Amino acid sequence: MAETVQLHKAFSLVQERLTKLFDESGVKRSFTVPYVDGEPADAHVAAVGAAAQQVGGLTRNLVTTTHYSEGKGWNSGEGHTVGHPAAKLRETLISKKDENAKAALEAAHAYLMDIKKLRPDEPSVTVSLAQLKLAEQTQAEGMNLQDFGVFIIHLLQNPTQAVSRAHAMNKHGRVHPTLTAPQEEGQQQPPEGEATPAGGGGEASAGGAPTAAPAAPAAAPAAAPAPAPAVQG
Amino acid sequence: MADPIPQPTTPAPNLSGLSQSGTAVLPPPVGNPDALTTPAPAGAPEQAILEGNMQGAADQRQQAATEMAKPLPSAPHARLLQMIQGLSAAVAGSGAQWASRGKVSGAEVTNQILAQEAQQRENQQKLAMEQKQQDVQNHLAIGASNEATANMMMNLMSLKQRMTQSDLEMKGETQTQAINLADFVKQNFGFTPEQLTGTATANPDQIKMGKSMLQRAIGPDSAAITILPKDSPALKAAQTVLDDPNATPGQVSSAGNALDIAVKNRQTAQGYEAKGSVISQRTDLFAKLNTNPKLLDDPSTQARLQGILNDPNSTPDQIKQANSYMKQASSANEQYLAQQTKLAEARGAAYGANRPVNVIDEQGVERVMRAGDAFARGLSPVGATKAMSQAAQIADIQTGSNSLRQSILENRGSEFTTDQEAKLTLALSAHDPTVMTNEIKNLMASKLTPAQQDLVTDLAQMQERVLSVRNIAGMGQGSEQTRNAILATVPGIASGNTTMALKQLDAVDNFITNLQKGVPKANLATPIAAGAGLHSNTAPASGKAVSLQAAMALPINKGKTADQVRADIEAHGHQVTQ
Repeated sequence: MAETVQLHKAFSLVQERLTKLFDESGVKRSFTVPYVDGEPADAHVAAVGAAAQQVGGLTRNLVTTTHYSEGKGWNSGEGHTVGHPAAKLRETLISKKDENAKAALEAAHAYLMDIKKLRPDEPSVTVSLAQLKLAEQTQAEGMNLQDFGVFIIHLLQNPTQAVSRAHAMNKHGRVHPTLTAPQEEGQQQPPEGEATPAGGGGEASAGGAPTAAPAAPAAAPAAAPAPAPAVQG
Repeated sequence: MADPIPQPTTPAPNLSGLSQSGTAVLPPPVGNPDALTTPAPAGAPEQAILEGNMQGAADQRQQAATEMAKPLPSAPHARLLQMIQGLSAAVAGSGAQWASRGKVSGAEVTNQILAQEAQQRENQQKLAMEQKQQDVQNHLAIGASNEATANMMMNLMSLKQRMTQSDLEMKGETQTQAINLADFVKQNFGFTPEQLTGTATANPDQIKMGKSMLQRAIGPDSAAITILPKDSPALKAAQTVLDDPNATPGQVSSAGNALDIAVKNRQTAQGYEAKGSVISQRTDLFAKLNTNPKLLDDPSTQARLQGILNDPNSTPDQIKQANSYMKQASSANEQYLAQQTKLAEARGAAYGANRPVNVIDEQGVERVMRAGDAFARGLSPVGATKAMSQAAQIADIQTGSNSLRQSILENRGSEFTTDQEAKLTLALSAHDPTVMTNEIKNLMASKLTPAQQDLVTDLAQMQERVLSVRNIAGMGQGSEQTRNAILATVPGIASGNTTMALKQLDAVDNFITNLQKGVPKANLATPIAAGAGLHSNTAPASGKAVSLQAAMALPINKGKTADQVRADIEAHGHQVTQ
């Protein structure tokens, strides 16, 4: 059976550990914007932008955003977006055998491995894992926090985009995403295996007998057409 | 003094394999180089905001780069400081020269000091510039990282929270199987293979639905009822299954499929019948054409032959025969077309010859007659009246000219008095016709000989007539200058002598003759010609021939030129011979 991965959760874990590394290295946050239950994503992003503007903007503060790994996960209020001043991060070096740096490296490794499970032949994953291995050899000892944070974030970027691209091309109700209307707020796809609403839709499981009435056979061409069978897969 | 130039504080990362810090650690883009800006599913409002913030981050990075690239403001009193430093160097140089008792050149020492200071300043500026560039790179790296984070958030939003590898693959085989299953169910009245083989049970609703489909297959408008005979076994079997409350999926499917096969067989049989009918009709057509080739003239027959040629089911023999007949039809068509063309030409000619037209007959009268008759008689259309008018005007001028020429010859040797000459000159040059008329009357009342009276009259007439050239030449009314130019060609009382007056008149005649060439002549029994309307002493044509040489020898013509004698002879209506 195919292994299930939770990329959202793994991504949040990487971000969470970066935040912890920065915090516990003595760098004071520039801003913290918590997620709010029921708050649209665009409102949160706007709040982050406004907060960053007051402390020098997005080129002077490194942003990490996370839903708590032990919390309710995405689309919940349990999480926050944090900004750390880049200048302070640049002045702070990672000490030898820093557990927080090690944990961040492990989280990034796990995230990349999750993507590798989905896209085993994805070249960007191979490159990112190879680069991550260089940092793992010394546990990033001596790197400043800015370089480390930028390094980790960019390691994850291309593999994430590769997965998203593959998903967009093959899924989305078998219709290209540019040809479909946006989902309504809060209508996130239910996790696979959970109960789906009557009538299916979305990405229902394939196979099984059709549930709708089949059309009349060819022997009755003049008959009124019956509804076509809903083939799902 | 504190060093105004900050020293770099960022140590290089201790990371083996990564030679540079900062942006150098960014992994190179893999695959699509535009992956950084790969759009997520369109339409989500939060994406627009995210993109807006990314744009804001990019703007801020650009702004930071611009700020860092600006040169540092110059230190206050830099010029004063430079002067003091120069003075100090000079003092130091002098001191060195004094201390070495002249062994060392003070100027050289001063130059060395200044050169060292300049080198130091250059190094400081270079260091400052490098520091700025480093800061710019740091800002760009931070902005790019934040942008990447936002991108990843968007990308993850488009994914399910739990995913497997199969979610990213096209399930082609699964889809194919599902489609095949649906086709099977459709062909078997709503039942799956398992239900038909008995390995699965069909619920009552499914059986009801299958029966409903079978009922429609034999409904009033169905193909089965339309094509099959009422006593068809397939129809009866289907009805039996419908009436059976315990019918199984297999029975329903079998009855339906048997019905389908019966319908197809019947359609095939009808197709054969129709084909046989076609063959029979074609054979009949060829037989008729063989006995009666005139049938080829009928367009419907040709259309049927063309249909045989176009039909892919036609046999080679049918195509051969149809081709043969079509060639005959083509030849007949050509003949028919040629005949029709001749008829059309004849109809056109007859119409043209018989249509009524307005013409000027030989007597100059406008008449309506058939175009063919007018053409045969060479008559001119009514539109030729303009040319006729022009011809009449030319003839009028020529008449006046002849009359004047005669009067000039008759007045040879006689002279006008000064008063008479003045009056005549005034009359001929008067722009007001009333003035001219009065002057002419006055002249007439004075003691003029009859020949002089004729001359005065003809001069006035000629002046009037010659102005008609404006119409003939299409000049319109003409300006005063034009009219004077025309009148100046006419001989007058002040022409000097008879020879000069006749030469002027010859020029006028030549001018009129040239104009006459551009005016078409109407076919009139009495052509418009000069001579009509000459004054009373002009003799009509006598029909006699007078020798010019004999006339020159007469006493009356003594001293006259040959032209004058010729004109005199012609004025009397005689023909001049040598």
